[in-house]
Amino acid sequence: MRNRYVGKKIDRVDARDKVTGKALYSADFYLEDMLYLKVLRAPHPHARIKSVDVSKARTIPGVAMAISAKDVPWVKNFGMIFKDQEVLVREKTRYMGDALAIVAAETETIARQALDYIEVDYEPLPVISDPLKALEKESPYIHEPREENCDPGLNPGNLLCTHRLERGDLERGFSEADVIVENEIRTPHIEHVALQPEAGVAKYDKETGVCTMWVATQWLHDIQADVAQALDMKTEQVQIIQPAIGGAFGKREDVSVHIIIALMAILTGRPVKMEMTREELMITQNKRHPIIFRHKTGVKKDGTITAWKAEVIGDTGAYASTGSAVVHQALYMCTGPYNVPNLSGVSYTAYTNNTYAGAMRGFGATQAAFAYETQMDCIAAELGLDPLEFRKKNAYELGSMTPNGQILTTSVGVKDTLEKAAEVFGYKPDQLSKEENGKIRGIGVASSMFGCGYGEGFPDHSIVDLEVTDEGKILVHSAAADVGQGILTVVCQIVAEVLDIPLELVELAPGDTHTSKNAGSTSATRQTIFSGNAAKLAAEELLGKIYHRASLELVKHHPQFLVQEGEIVLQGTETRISLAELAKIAREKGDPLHAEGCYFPRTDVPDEATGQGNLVYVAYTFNTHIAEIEIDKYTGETRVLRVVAVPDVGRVINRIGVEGQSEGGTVMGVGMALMEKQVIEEGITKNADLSTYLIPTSLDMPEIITEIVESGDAAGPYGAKGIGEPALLPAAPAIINAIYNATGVRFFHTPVTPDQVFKAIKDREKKNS
Amino acid sequence: MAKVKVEFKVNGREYSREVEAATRLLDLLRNELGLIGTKEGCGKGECGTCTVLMDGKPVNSCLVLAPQANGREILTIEGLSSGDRLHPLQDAFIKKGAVQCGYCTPGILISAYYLLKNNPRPNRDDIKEGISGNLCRCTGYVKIIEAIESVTEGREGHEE
Amino acid sequence: MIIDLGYAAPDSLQKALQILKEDPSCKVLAGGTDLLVKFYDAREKMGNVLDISRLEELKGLEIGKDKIFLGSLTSHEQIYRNPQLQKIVPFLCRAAKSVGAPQIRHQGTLGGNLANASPAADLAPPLIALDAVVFLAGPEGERSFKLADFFTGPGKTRKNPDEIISGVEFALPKGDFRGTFLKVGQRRALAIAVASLAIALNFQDGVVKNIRLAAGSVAPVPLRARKTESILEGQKLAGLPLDKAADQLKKEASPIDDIRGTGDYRSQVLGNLLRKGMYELLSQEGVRENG
Repeated sequence: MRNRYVGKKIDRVDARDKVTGKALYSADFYLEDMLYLKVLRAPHPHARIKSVDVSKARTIPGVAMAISAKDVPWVKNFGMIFKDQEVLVREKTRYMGDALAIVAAETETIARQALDYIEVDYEPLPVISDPLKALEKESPYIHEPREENCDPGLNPGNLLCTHRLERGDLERGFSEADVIVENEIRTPHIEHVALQPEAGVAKYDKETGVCTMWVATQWLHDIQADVAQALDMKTEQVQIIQPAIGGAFGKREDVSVHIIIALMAILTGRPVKMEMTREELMITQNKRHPIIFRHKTGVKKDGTITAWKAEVIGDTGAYASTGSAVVHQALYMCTGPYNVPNLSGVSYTAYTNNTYAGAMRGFGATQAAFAYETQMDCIAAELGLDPLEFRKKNAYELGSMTPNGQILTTSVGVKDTLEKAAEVFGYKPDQLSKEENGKIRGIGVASSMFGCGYGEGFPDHSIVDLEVTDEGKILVHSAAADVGQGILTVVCQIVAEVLDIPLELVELAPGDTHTSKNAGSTSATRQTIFSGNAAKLAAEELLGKIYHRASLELVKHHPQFLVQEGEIVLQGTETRISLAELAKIAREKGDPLHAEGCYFPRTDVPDEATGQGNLVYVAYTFNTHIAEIEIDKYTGETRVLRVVAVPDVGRVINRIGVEGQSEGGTVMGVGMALMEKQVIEEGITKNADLSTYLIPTSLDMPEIITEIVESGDAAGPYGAKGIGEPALLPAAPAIINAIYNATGVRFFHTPVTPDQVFKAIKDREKKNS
Repeated sequence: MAKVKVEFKVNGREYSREVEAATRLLDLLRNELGLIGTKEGCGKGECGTCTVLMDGKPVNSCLVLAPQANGREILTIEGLSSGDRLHPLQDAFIKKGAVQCGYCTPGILISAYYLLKNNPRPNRDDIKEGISGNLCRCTGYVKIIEAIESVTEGREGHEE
Repeated sequence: MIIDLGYAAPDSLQKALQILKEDPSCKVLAGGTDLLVKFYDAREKMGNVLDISRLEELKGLEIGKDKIFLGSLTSHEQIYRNPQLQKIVPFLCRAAKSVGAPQIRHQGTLGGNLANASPAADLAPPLIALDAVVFLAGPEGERSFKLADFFTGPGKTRKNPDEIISGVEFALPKGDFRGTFLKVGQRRALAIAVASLAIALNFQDGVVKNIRLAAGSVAPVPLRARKTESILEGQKLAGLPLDKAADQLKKEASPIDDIRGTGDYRSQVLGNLLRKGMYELLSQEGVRENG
C-alpha cells in the first residue's frame, strides 16, 4: 500500500509558531502580579548545615517571602526512582546545587540581591569526588547507609546499587581465545546544553486547591506525581501545562524548578516565576554519568569473540535521579551489537559529592558505545583485521542474543548499516592514514545498539485520545512531550494517514495533565513506538466508530462507502456526510466520535542474578557511523570532515525528522569526542558557562550524509523504531577511532583535546626516532 | 530609583520607556514590550538566542544595556514577517526542517537575515560563518544551512 | 557633570573625560561585550556606566599615505571587512575575524579589546607586530605608548582610570611586507585563543628583515618576542634557523595552565605556530629565496 504521509518529508506542526517567535516557552509566560524566585545554593559540596538565617533577607523592601527548610518541615523528598533529594536541605549539603533558601520578590533583581543577606552557618565535611573512592568501605557516607543491598567490602552509604550479567562459561570462553584484550575506558560529566534554560511559572487557586504551572518536562504525569507527593497534595491538585520545550536531551526528565514554583505559589498566594541562569542550571541540574568501563575480551585469530568480561562503575553524584537505571543500561549494552557467547558483567552506581547525574541522550548506552567501540577497534588492531570487517563478522543477525539473553526475532539491521555505510562512504579495507602539508587524515568506524522503551518489565505505556470536533477536525490529546524531536508531528501524521485526511484537519490540544492521559516520558527513544502506536490504535478505533455511525445513518454496509478527505462518501452517488455533521449526529445520539488508543506492550524483568530475560526491550535500533577527520600536526587540532551515518530505524515515519535527529546526534557526538567535559574538581564545577563548556558551532560541523536502513518489521507503527538517542551513539567513537587511524595513538577517554593529540603525536615521534 | 529614558524604534514602531540603567535590551524587549520571540540562553553572548539587529547590525541583546538602544532601530523576530506573510527565510526554515526545538530559531533567523541582506549570494562557508554566533543543539546545523542556501539569490523556489 | 541616573552617554569626548574625572570608578562601556559578561548575573552591582559608544571622535578608520589610524570604537567587524585593510594588512583582518562570532564582532570594539587587556586579546598580537602605538585621551591631554609596552598584566594597562583609549596607529607597511596571524582555539568560532601568534616581516633580497613577533595567551600580557626576532632577523630565507627560533620563543613565553589548555601545550604549540606561520609566509607567491 502506498502511504500518504508515512515515510515522507513532513513539515513540523509547530514550525510556524517557532519561526515567527510566537511559540511560548516556559519563561515566556507572564502572569499578573507575579513574584520572582531565586534560590540560595550550597556554599560547599559536602557540609553539615548548622543554620540558615533568612531574617535579614525578609526585611529587604520588595521581598515578599524568604524561606529555608525549617519553615516547611512538611515538604517531602523527591526523586525519579529513589526519593533521596531534598527540596530545601535540612541537615547537610551533598553537592553545590543543593537549595538552602528560596526568596520571592517583586523583581528578579531584588530576589537576587536578597540572597546576599541570607546567612548560612556550616561545617565542611570531606568531599568525595571520585566514585572509586566513594565505594571504598572507609569513605565517609554521603547518604544514610543501606546495608541490605550492599556488596560486602563496599561502602553502604555510597553504593546506590549493583547489577549483573551472567551467561555461558566465561572461563571456557577465555580459554578458547587466541588473544585477550583488556582496557579501561572512561567518560566524563557531560552537560546537555539544551538551549532553553530551566524556567517555570506557577499559580495557585485557593478555591479549587489546584496549582497550575507552565513548565517544561519530558514526562508530564510523572513530574505531576512527584510534585504532588513532595508537597503533600493530591495528584489532581497539580496541573502542568506543557509549553514549547527548548530542547531536553534528558535534562528535563528531572525535577528542576517544578516543586519550588508550586511551593512558593501556594505559600505566597501569588503567581510566581523562576528562571535559572545558565551557570545555576549547569551546577544544579543533572549531568551525563561519568562511567568507568573495564573490558576484557577474548577473541580467536579469525576475529570470533569468545568471551567478554565487563566491570562498569558509574558516578551518579549526590543523588540517584535515574542513575541506577542509567548505569545498569551501560552494563546491559556493554558488548554492543556483537555476538558474545560467554559474558560476565557487573555494574556499580556510586554516590559522590559531584553534581548529580541522570538521563542524557543514550542513558548509559552512549558511554557504553564509546567503550565497546574503543574495545572493538583495539581488538581489530591487535588481530590486524580491518575494523569494519571485524565488526561485520561479529554483528548481530536474526536469532542473535543480546547481553540480556533476548533472542532477536525482528528488525536486526546492524549488518546492513555497516555495509551501507561502507558503500556510501567509499570505504576501502586497506585505507591508511595519509599526511599532507602538516595535516593527517584518518578514518574511523563505529556501530551501536540501543534498546527502545523502558523495557525490563517496567510499566511502559502511552495513551492518545482523539475526538472529532464540530468543525470536522480531529483533535488530538497527547501528553507526549515534543522536546524538539517532532513526536507530535509524527502523531498527527499517523492520524491523518489512518483516516486518509489532509494533515491540516488534525489539530493538537496542548499537553496538559488535566486533559491528556499519560504518554510516558519522552526518553528511552520510545515515543515514536509508544505514542505512535497509540495514535495508530486510536485513529483505527475512531475510523471504526466513524464507519459504524455512518452505516447507521446511511443505512448501508461498510463496503458501500468510503471515509476520505474528511467526508463520508457513498460510492457511486453524490451523497456525502461531512465529519463535522457526523460528529454532531453522533454526539446527539450519545455516542460521540471519540476514541482512545493505548499501547502497552509487555516486557520481562531480567533475572536479578544473571540479567537474563526473554523479551527485555520491545525493539533495538542500530546505527553505524564512518567518520573522516583531519589533524593539524602543528597544533593537534582535530577537524571532523565527513560523517556517513546509517541508522536502522525499522521504518521512517517523518523522513525530515529522522534526518534531523541523525544530523543533530552526529554533531552532539563531535562535541562529545572533541570538546565536551564539565570539569568538576572536589565537587566544584570549573566551567559552568558556555564560554568554557564548549559545544560545536556551525563552523565545527562536518559534512553529514545520512542513509537510512529500513527493514519495516519493528514493533513501532508501520514497522518503525526510534532514532533520538541512537543517532548519537556511534558518533564519538567513530571520530576517536579515526584519530587512532590517523595517528596510531589510542585514546581511552573523551574528550580528546588538541593538547592531548599534540602530545600523543610528539610522544610517538619520539618513540619512533 | 531614578530611571533612564529610552526612546527607540522596534520593528518599525516607536517606543518610549523608562528603565533602570542596568536593564538589558533583552529584558526591555521581553519584559516591557512583550516581544518574547527574542530568547535568553546564556546571558553572556555565547549562544546567540537573543540576537536582534540594532541599527541594522546583529548584536546579542543580552550584552546591550537598554539605554544603549536609545535612538536606535531594532529588528526582532516579530518584525521579520509582515502580518500573515512569512519572510522567505521563515518559509524555508519550515520547509527544510531547520526547526526542531525552535529555541535558537529566532536568533538564527535574524543572523541569516543580516547575512543575506549584506551578501545575497553567500556560499556554504559564508553561511556557516554568518550563523557561527548562534548555537543550535538539535539540528547539527545541516538543515539550517540548507534552508538559508535555498533562499540565496538565484535559488529562490529551488527544489531538489 | 556626574552620572545621576547610573548611566551617561555623552556626545563629546570632552564631556566623557569630565565625567570620568569626577567618577573614575565608573565603568566605561564601548561595545559591552566584556562588561556585561562580567556582570551578567549581578548587573545591579555594575555601578555607574559611562557609555562612550556615541563619541564621534573615537570613530573612524583613516588610511593615509604613511600611516593607518583606527579609532578606538572601530568594531572588529569593520576591521575584518575593510577592503583596504584586507589588502594592506590581511593578517590584522584575519585576527579580527577570529574574534567571537558576527554578533561579538559587530558589538566589540578595538578600544574595548585593548582596554580589557586580556592576554588572549586577538587584536593585540597583530597590532604589536605592526609596531602600533596606542593613544590615550585624558584630562591632561593626549598620551601615547607603544602597544607592546601598554599592557602590564592580565586586565592591566598603563592607562589611568581617567583616560580613554582614543585609537591606534601604525605605519603603512613598505617593501615586500608579509604578515600572518595564527590562533589555536578549542573550536572554530566563539573561541578564546589557547595560543596565538602574529608574524610581521619583510623579505628583502632573500633575507628576513624587520621581523616582529607577538604572541597571545602565553604570558600575562600579549607578548612581543624580541629575542626570538633577533634569531631570525637578517637570516637568509634558505635555511632559516626555525628550530632555534621556536625553542627561543618557547623560552620567552610563560604560559599558565587553565581550563582551555596546559601551559606546556601552550609553549609547545607556540613554537609550532612559528614554524607553521613561517612556512606559510615562505610559500606565498613572489617569495624568492635568493632575492
